[in-house]
Amino acid sequence: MKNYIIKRLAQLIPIILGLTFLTFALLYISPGDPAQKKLIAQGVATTTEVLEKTREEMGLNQPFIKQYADWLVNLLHGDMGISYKDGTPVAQKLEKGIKYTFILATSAFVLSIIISIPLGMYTAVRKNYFSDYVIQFLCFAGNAIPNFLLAIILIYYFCIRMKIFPVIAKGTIQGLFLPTLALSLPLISRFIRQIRVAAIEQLGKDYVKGARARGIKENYIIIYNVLRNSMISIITVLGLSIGTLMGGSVVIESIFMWPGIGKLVMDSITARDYPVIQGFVIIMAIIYVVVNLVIDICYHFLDPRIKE
Amino acid sequence: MNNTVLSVENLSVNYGGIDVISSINFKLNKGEILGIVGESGSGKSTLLKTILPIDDLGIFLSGGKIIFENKILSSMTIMLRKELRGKHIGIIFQNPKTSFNPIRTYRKQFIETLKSHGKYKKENFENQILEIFQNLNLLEGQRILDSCPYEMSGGMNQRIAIALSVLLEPSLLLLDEPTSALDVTAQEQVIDELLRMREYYQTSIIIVTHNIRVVSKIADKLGVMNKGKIVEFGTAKDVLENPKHLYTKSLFKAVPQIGNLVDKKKENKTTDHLLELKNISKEFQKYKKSFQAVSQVNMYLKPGEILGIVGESGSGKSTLLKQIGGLQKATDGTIFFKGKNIVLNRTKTEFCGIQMIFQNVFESFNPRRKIRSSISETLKNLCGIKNKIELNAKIDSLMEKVGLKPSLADRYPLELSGGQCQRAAIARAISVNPDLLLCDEITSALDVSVQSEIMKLLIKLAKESHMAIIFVSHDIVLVTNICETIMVMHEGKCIESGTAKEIITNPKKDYTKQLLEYAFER
Amino acid sequence: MCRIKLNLNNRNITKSTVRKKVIFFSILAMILIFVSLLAPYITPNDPYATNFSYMKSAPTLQFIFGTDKLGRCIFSRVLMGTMTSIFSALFLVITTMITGTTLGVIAGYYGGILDNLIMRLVDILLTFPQMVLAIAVAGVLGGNMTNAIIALGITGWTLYARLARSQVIALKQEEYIDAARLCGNSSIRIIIVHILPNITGEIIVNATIQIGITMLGFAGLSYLGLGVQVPEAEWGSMINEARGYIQQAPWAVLAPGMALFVTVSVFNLLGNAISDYIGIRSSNHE
Repeated sequence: MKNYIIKRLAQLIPIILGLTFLTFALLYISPGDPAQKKLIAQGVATTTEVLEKTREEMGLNQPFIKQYADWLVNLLHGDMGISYKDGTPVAQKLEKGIKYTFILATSAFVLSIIISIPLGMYTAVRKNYFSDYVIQFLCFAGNAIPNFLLAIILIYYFCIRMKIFPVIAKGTIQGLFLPTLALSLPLISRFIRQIRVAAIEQLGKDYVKGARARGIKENYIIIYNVLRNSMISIITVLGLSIGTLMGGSVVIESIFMWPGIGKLVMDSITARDYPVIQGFVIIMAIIYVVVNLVIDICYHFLDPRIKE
Repeated sequence: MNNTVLSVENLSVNYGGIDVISSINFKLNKGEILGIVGESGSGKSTLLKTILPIDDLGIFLSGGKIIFENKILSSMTIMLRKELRGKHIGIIFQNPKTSFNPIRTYRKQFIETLKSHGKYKKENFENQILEIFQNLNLLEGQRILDSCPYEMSGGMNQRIAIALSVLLEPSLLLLDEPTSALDVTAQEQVIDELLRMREYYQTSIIIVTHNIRVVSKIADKLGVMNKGKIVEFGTAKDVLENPKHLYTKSLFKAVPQIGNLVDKKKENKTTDHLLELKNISKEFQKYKKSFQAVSQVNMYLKPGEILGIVGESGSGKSTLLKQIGGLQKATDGTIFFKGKNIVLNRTKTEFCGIQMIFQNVFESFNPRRKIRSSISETLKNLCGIKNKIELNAKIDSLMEKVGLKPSLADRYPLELSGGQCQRAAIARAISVNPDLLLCDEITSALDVSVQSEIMKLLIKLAKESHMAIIFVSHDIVLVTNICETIMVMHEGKCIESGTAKEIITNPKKDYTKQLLEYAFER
Repeated sequence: MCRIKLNLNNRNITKSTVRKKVIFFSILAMILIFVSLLAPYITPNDPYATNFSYMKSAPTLQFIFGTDKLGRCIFSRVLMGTMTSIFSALFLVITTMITGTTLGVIAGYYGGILDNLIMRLVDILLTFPQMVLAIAVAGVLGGNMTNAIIALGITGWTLYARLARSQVIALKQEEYIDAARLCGNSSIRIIIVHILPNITGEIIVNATIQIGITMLGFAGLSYLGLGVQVPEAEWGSMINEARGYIQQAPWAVLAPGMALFVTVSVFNLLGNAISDYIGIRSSNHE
């Protein structure tokens, strides 16, 4: 196990290099001159002189690879550059937001799992019963509805019509409820469907037949065998859906004015504050990679068949 | 005291409107072993499913009674019958890998089973199990308990499943083809274990199989099933030595017996080798460990010679065949065909020289294409026949040559029976008139009667066109029917080779002796 | 024997109902595609004409979905929206499917260095959550439809590449591929004749399901102002525009919302039906 983790960590190095390279290149595919963009963002008049000076400051006159190397070294020291807009370090800005995003994403994820595992197993066991069809239909709808529409509808009913929750979440506990709901509903629908499919597949396996032939109680079969074995295939889906959660949080945060990094990045896009966007992508990608690494390790833990 | 454990009276079973079993009668006494043999589709597995249904498969009892320990099973509700599972009637299935959850330790699964029947006592759990393991000759009981099923071989899994069923002390054990997925060595161990089980626990056993050899070693009584009926029933000795029914006779006749053993290699005018292997080795990477599937094999084959390669699964015999057929690159060694060194990428003439037939009958044809288009592909590529009329005529004549109606060529592989499909595969292989035909377990997926027909066809074709054959099989008896020379493989190495007679009458290696012992002992 | 036959019969019965389902949803999808192609000609009103005497008007006979705050006909705008939504989603899914499958088949069939190169690129791209990267790329490049397609397409193809690769590797073990090689077929012919037809099923199922996901992605980008720019009609941006006055004119949000929901549903249902028909489970990916 230990060896496996070390090996996986070693494999991460080239991937993280590639990831940072692509993110760095992101700024360079944008149309126009970064120095000019910076000046525009700051609202400074762009004369040739000022422009040249800024270019020098930003290291833009150096070769691309040198710029990347410098940027990477700074990144390793936790320096993600300086915001064009107000000159504060990007890392500082992201740090403020990440706490809120973490709270929102975690609560949505936990809620999804708590709801979907029992429901998914239930639908698998009650396959083709009426309750299965109802849940399946709801999940289907949940999969096809865009999260922003869902968020708007939730706001309309709960905040404007019934006035239960504040329209602007502002990072309070009370304000957490609706964004969590809006973020987790599509996930719940997807998880339930996945768990159902995985559990039905496991229920069809011969070992279930064997266990029944031995007269093992049905709940032992379902909980200790079917659920456990289905988790192996479900757990990868869980990892991938963290990505959906991150993308969704940008939309949901800007709708509910939740002060996470999703909202921050939207504000930065409007303000053409590119270093912040870059920092956002890096942070999200690294979290995503780490989460999936953890999930891979869990996978190995759950399925002893895969040895190093 | 009534000694009857199970009695089946005039049983008929209906499956989706069709009678699959009709009017079956038999009685089974305490401690008796009943063998039921029959080919696929004879209804023998359905019989077991009717006695103890596992899932609701739409099996419908249309007549008769099943009486188990004075209870009329056939009129009990499903719920009540479920209670019998494990505790009173045990079932073991064909595929040993699947009777346990592959990734939970045996210990957990044993405890779970006992708990379900309210028999779990923490203090003496381990002693109880170890005692059973000992009685059934399962060594290293502790180690077994702490391992997972996926780590064990199929044979071990099957034996542990039997041990677990003993733990619940059922009075009847049903076995559905328990040995067909196993090698002979493992088969032998399972048979031994079942006999021990009867000895120690007086369990009655019904064993359903197509393998007459297995039944002959274990059964007290024997029933032969055909088309849903028991056509012959009696003590095993009577039925085996003196079969009365026509079907039984033909079934027993199809079971391969030692053929006319060839002692001397056929007189050949040429002394040139058709095929020569020098130090062929093949290594696989499995879980980062290298694993020698074939190591340092040397071999010669003369034109027109028929060579049998015998070995159990994992002995590397199929891998070796793939090297010869050019489907895998050998890690080491050289192959000479007609004196020329051939490599992985073959030329058209080399493909024409060596052709191959596979084990999984239906998977050797692209399921999306008709047989005709698969065969014509070969003809177009290798013989350069482009004309459609010529192609069709050639395919028709090939089909007739292998004993199939030409019209069958216009079907998809899955629309043919196993035997027909294998014949079509032979037709495809011989369409280029190869000098060497490789046969990889080509009959092991087929019923015995079909198997003997295919063997006859092969012999006929070999004679007609003076084609050399390498025939790979796990069944040493079958091999003696067709081959002049035999090579025995074990763990990737060729451990013994010689003429068929030499190997059969005077084996030198212990492993070969053991294989032969299992095959012939009755 | 009897049992096997019966199972076949049963399967035929369900198969025919499943086939009907596939046909039904294909027809619905075709209708939607037709509407998207003909949208400019079948709108009852000019989707861009503002009319200040009919601002935020409730659904009437003339404006069946009502009007927005500029008095534009919502029904006409929703119809115009099909063009952007369906066309761009189809375009993206088809191009990513072709590139991804080609690369995946090459990686799976030939293995070695090519496989390593392609799969490492896939690994790197997969470290980015699709929507996160799309938002960043579209945000940096500036919001328009081409950039949105690029943004979603960068990672989109990896799904098909991984799928095709694993399928090809599994197929390579099949005996009929070995048999085809013994027939003297070239690698390219084996790929085209024997491998591709056997993997298209799963690829198409996944692609069909991706159509829905892609549409939601585009709508999300447009909603954030990173896709289609106002005043052009697109469902996501229409919803964004109208959410400010949802209290006065809920139809302005609901009409494009429902259009999006229904279209995504139709393509998802089509995907499910096809996967039932082919008898495979889609690996419902990101």
